Amino acid sequence: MKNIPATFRMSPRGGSCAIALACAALLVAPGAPAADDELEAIRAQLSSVCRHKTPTEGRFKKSWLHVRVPDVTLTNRYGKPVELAPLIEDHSTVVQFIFTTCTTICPVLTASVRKVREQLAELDPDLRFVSISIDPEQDTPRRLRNYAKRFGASGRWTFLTGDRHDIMHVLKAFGAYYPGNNKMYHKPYTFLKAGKGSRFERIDGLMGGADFVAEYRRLMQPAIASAKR
Amino acid sequence: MIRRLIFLLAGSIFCVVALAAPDIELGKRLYEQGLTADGKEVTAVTQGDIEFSSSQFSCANCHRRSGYGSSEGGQFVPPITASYLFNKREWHRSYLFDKMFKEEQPASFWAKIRQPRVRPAFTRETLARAIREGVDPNGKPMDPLMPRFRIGKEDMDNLLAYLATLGTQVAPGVDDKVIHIATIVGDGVDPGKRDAMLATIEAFKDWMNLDTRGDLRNPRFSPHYRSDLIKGYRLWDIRVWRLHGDPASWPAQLDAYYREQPVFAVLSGMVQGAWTPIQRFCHQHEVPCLFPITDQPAPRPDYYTFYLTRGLRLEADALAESLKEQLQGGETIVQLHAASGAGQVPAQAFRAALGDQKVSLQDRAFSDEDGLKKQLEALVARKKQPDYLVIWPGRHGGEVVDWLLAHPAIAGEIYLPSSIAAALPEKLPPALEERLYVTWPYEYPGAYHPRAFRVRAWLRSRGLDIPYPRIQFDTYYALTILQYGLAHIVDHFSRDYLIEYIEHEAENALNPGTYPRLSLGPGQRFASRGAYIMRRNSLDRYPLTRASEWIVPDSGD
Repeated sequence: MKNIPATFRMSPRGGSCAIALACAALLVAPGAPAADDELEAIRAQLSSVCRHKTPTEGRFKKSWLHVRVPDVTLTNRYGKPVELAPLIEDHSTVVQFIFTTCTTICPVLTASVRKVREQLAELDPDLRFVSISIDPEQDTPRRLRNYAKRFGASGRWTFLTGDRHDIMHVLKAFGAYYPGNNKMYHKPYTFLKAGKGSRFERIDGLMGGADFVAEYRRLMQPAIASAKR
Repeated sequence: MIRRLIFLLAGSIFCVVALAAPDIELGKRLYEQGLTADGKEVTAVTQGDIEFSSSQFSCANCHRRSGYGSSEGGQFVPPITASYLFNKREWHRSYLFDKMFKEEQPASFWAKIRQPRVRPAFTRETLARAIREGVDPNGKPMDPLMPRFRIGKEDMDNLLAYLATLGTQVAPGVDDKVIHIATIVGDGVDPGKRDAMLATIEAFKDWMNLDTRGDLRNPRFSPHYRSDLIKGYRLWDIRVWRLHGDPASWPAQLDAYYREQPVFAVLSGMVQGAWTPIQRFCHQHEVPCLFPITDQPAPRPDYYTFYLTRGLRLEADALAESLKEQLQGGETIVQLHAASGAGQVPAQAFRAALGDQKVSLQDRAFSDEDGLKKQLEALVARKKQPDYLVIWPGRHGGEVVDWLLAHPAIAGEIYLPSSIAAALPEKLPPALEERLYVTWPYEYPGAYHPRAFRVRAWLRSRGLDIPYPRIQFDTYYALTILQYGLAHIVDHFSRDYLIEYIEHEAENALNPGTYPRLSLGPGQRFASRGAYIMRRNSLDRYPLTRASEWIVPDSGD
């Protein structure tokens, strides 16, 4: 049981139905006879549980990690050198690892950034988006440009390729190196960091836009933000 | 009059019926490219709220062209061939064997493929609902990754008509006992290299068939789930298609061979000159063509042919990339090249890759030995030797080496392609050794690759001499990719499915050590993409040592 991720351990559907029924009973009838304080407290708790469930909720796992960004210079989609550490460490950052010929998860990862980037930029003007190719020998700057164009990338969205060994160091620093030494087994990670510092939230799984924004909004909360270093 | 009215009426009915009939080809286009009947991009929503268009994502992205699905990033994408869709879902361990036991996947993936999710067969209505609303025939929501497509009725009819055909055709070249494979050799190739390649293929085929015959004799004996998989076992029949004469006549020769016995795949092979006619043949007959031994791949790869490298174009691009690092401006580069493809192709690539460097690049072409001699004499007679001499000698490598041995100081630096390295003598005059460089799209001599040990041991254990290790190791790579590919597809003998497997798994540990790294991905057709610049060093253990890092040029391919 210990190797099975939380998503599968929770058998969510049956349990959430019961909660939903309870929610319906309590929330749909606000005009019910005056409830005592205890009932009010329960209602308040349930109302927070009974918010609308997003399609991707519970389908990704979250963890924290401190990342020591390697001191490497990568190449952006215009062929210009980019020092990775200042780009990532000095700003709020969303980092994803992709490759341009990937057919299944990278288009969704990239499209998810396109979906939320304006909304998140409004929340946090310091936020940078960084997509790093894990197939650098194939993903030349020209191919990255085409890929970025396909997804309407602009503004503070940096696409990076570079020396294969440098990219491997970056992957290892983020704990994102793919198993089996085969990029086809890479995982759908998104790394989120609100503000400077080294602590990232690692999302393992594909998020919809609503969850993406909610996760980032949560990261910006003072209690979480203060723990980020 | 009445007759005319009847005729018109019949014509109208015919038109209506013809308009209403779904168009399978348009359905295929919608599936593979996401384009509607009127050429517009389909739009959809995935993950609940992420909008996209088909330029970013189409059905074939995930379910792949074969329809047999895929696995990537811990996501299991189920097959959607006609037999899967329009039958009750059943759980077949044999078709999931690789995913269950061989692939490196997270636990969530393994849990998902082991779930005995029962669903009834799709009907046209339930399938249309699944595509539009993401609801399966049980009424349950499908994975949010499955896009909810906005597809109108006509396009949906076309798509459903195509899905009803997907995976239903049996690929030629395989029957219930034998799978036919061809290798292609042309006139004029080095007989020693050709025979080394053919001997490797023959030995591998015998080894495979010995095993397969034994297994087929005891089909119910089932160590390692073998009885589940034995339905996919076939004896290999490898045919050597020999091409003669003018390459313009090769298509007719290949067609004749194919008519006599269609093959499921073309494996390895070597011809003199460009591989283009064979790539075209493979495309026309939709035959996978796996890793020919060629330094002249077709200028543009296509879906069916996989190459090890871009050959001479890669060497030219890597050389240009390397020189660009050191050019100051004002230098003279003389490019001496054969007028054949082996000379012209890299010469043009080099000129293009050098771009607008402020240098004097002078091309000198020759078409025969006399022409080469004249060009070299003219070079020697120059008052000022060029800073760089780049030679693409075609078939005249031996003569070039002889001339360089006699006139070592013909230029400041001299660059030769990898094909000439074997023609260089063990000892070079110091004046030549210090200025001679070789482009090298291979692993450097002496690099450590554990699998090279295994490949060499296998060749030895078969009693084979190894006079051309790289050719034999590369051939072995093609053979093992095919072996594992066929094991993966079990009895789903779809050529597209085989190609998808190769794209997916080429990066696994099958590299026989001839390249630093071999890897592919969806749509990728060159397994190795870089080159070294090497120099001769008679004091080193190996005659060629690295003079550069691994150079990966930003090619136009």
